[in-house]
Order: sequence, then structure tokens, then C-alpha cells
Amino acid sequence: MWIAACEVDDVDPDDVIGVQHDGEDYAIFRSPEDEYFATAGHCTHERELLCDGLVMDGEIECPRHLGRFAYATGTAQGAPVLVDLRTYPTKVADGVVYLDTSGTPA
Amino acid sequence: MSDTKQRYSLVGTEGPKAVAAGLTTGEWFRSEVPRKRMKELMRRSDGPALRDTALWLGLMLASGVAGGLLWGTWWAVPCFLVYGVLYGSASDSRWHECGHGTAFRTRRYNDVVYQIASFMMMRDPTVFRWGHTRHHTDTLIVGRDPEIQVMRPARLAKVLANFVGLVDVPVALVTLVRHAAGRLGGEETTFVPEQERAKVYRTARISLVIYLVAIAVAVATGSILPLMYVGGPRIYGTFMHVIYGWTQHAGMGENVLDHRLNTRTVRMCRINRFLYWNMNYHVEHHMFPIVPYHRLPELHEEIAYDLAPAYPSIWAAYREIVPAVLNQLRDPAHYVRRELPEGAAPFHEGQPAH
Repeated sequence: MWIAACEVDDVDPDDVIGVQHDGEDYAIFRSPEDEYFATAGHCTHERELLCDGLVMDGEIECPRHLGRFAYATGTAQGAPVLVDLRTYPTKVADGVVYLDTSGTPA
Repeated sequence: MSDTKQRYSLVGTEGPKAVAAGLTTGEWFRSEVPRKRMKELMRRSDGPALRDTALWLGLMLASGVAGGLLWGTWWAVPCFLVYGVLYGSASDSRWHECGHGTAFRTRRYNDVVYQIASFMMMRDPTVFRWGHTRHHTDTLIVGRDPEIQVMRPARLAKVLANFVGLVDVPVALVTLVRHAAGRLGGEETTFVPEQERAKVYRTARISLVIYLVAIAVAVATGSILPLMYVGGPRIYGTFMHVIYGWTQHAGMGENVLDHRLNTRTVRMCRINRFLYWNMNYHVEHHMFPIVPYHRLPELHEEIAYDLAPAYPSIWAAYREIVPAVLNQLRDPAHYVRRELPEGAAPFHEGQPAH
């Protein structure tokens, strides 16, 4: 199901914000090239919101134990994260970023 | 196993109680820092750590060469004191920061320095990475945190002996042999995932070969000089890392969910901050481990309004730590509780501190 996640300018380039829908947390990323990506909102290692983390070089680093994921694919980059993040398709229309909550397995 | 050791064991009685009390899934307190400012503070760079690492290894090289040339004279003593502290104490903070992956922007640099520093501190890089991860999840949660140095009551003989590594080093060597034989300890199995264990065994075998070569050279030459360079500094140069380490949590509250209740920030001089890589800003580090060591002084200023005042010196911290630890020998329920400044967010205890 496609939902409106945020306005395009709600996310700075090379940054992330957190959004909630139906009690679920999602992380919305904007790359330096203005592409948008969406992943599950919490780290797969422990329940920590990724939107407080550091976005750098195409990766999101969890703020608590500093596990990193490639935000475009959800791939875990090594200890302490060993399980990939779930990712969700995104699209942009009329200045709004949409994500498909039915998602795809990471 | 003594009652105290049993309580603090990760496979003892207290861990399940902490889980049942919700301490392992609770939200830890964090001071408010605007996202824009936090992004600045989190930003990575290679410059500061490259400079500090060049200085660290350069000083080791210079003091080590000087110590070797002056071996047999008293002038070798100060040389090896410098070499030993850089090896057996400063490596601890390099291990720590590079383990978090925050010291350098380039991950490969973090990994290389992490491996070197882990070897110097006689820590398996994989086991201690997972152990430290748990320390950050469950800081001073009894039965969960594998890095509680000073228990209640303190095992004084052990903690004092560790000023010269007399417990840590034999334990590390026995552990090294166990890992080289392809086995983990019981507590280690609680936090090292299955898929990470092969790395532990491989690293242990490499480290063991290095130590055996150093011992063989010492025997062949009839001199302890090789062991002054390899392994020995973990005994004769490790005292500063113990002095720094005690300031972090000793005597503070256990089983709380607020680092202001279980952690200290202590002001230190430039030399100590170089050796300790700014980990004297320890409340700040625990609250925001994603901030690199070289930005911690700025983070301290940013959230000072929410924290108890920093201790003005190592001496001031110890004036509190020593009586607190001695009190805990008689009354294990005793702990240090700081006063927060007016306007600070109230303590977030999760449950009453003890």
C-alpha cells in the first residue's frame, strides 16, 4: 500500500528522517543525488531508531551501537549488525515522497 | 564462585532478573541536541586520528629504540616507561574508539588500529567488540554488563593487582589458548554470535604465534628485552589505563537507565586526554557514542546544562571514588548520587537505583 511519507524538502540531502504510519516506524533517506529510499525505522540489532543516526557514504549508522547498513539495499555492513534491514519502494510525485508499506524483503 | 562474582556473572542469577524488570529493554535518557547540531558533532574525519596515531606510534618507536640502545643502563627506565604507557595504557582508548568505528572516517583505518590496539591490550577483537556492545546496551546492569570493573563489594585484591595486569594478563593468556584451541568461555557464548566465532579462533592463533616467537627470542638471547617490547607493557605500562578506567563508573549507581547516574565526566590535562582519547567525557560518550572522540569537548559544552558538574581533576574524582568503594565493602547498597543543576531534566531511573 502506497502512503505519503513526507514532503521532498522534509529531508535534507544526505540525511534521514523518521516517519510513523499505523504504529510502524520507517526511515526515509535522501541521497546527495536527491534520490529517496525507505527502510524499516529500527536497527535490526537492537530496537533503536535509525533516524537519529549518521548518514554517510550511502550508509546509515545506528546511533547506539554504530552498526551500519547500506540504505539503498538494507544490507548489513558487519558487526554488530548481522541482519539486513527491510527496504521499501519509494516514488516522488508533486513534491511528496511515497513509500510502499508492503515493501520487499531486504 | 563467590556470591559477588555469581551476581555479576553473565550466566548468574541477576541477568534474568534485570530482563524481567525491563532494564534491558528500557529507554535510556538522552539530552536534547538539535539534529542540525548533532549532525555537525557526528561528522567523521580522518585528520585528528591520523595526527594522534602518528604521534602515538611515533613516540612508541622513538622510546622503544632509545630503550633498546640504553638497555642495561638506568636511562632505559624512563624510555620503557613511556613505551609501556603508550602500549599498555593508551592502546585501551585506541581499541575503544576504533572498535566503535568513530575515530577515523575511513573504516579501514579504524579496523587496522583496532587490530593493533586489541593485540596490545591482549583482547580478542571480536569478543571484546561484542562485549563492549553489551556494555553500551546494559551499562552497569548487574548480570548483563561484562565490563563492570569494580563490583559491590569490590574485589580489592583483584582490582589493585590489575594496576600491573596481574589478573588480566594471566586470564587473557589462558583465554588466548582456549580460543586458539577453538573454544569460547561460557560468558562469551552469551554475546558472541555463532557466525563470528571462527574469527576469534583465527586471531588467537596468530597472536599466540607472535607471543611464542617473542618468548623464544628472549630464551635464545638470554634477555627479557624482547618481552619489554611485546606483551610486557601490558604489565609494566598498564597502570594508567586502570587509573582512567576507574573514573568511568566505580562507585556509581547500578541498574539505572540514565548515564548521569552511573558514569562520570572528569576534566583532564592535555597529555591525559591524548593518552585517553577524550574518554574522560564519559557521560557524553555513553549518551552519544556516535560522536567521535575529538568532538566530545564540544558535545560536553552542548549538554552541560543537563549534567552534574564535571569533576575538576582525576584527583577530585578519586577523592570520591576511594571512600565510595571502601564504603561499599561494608555496605554494598551504597553508591554515589550526583546533584543535577537547576533546570536539568530529572533522572530517568527505570527503577530505584541500587
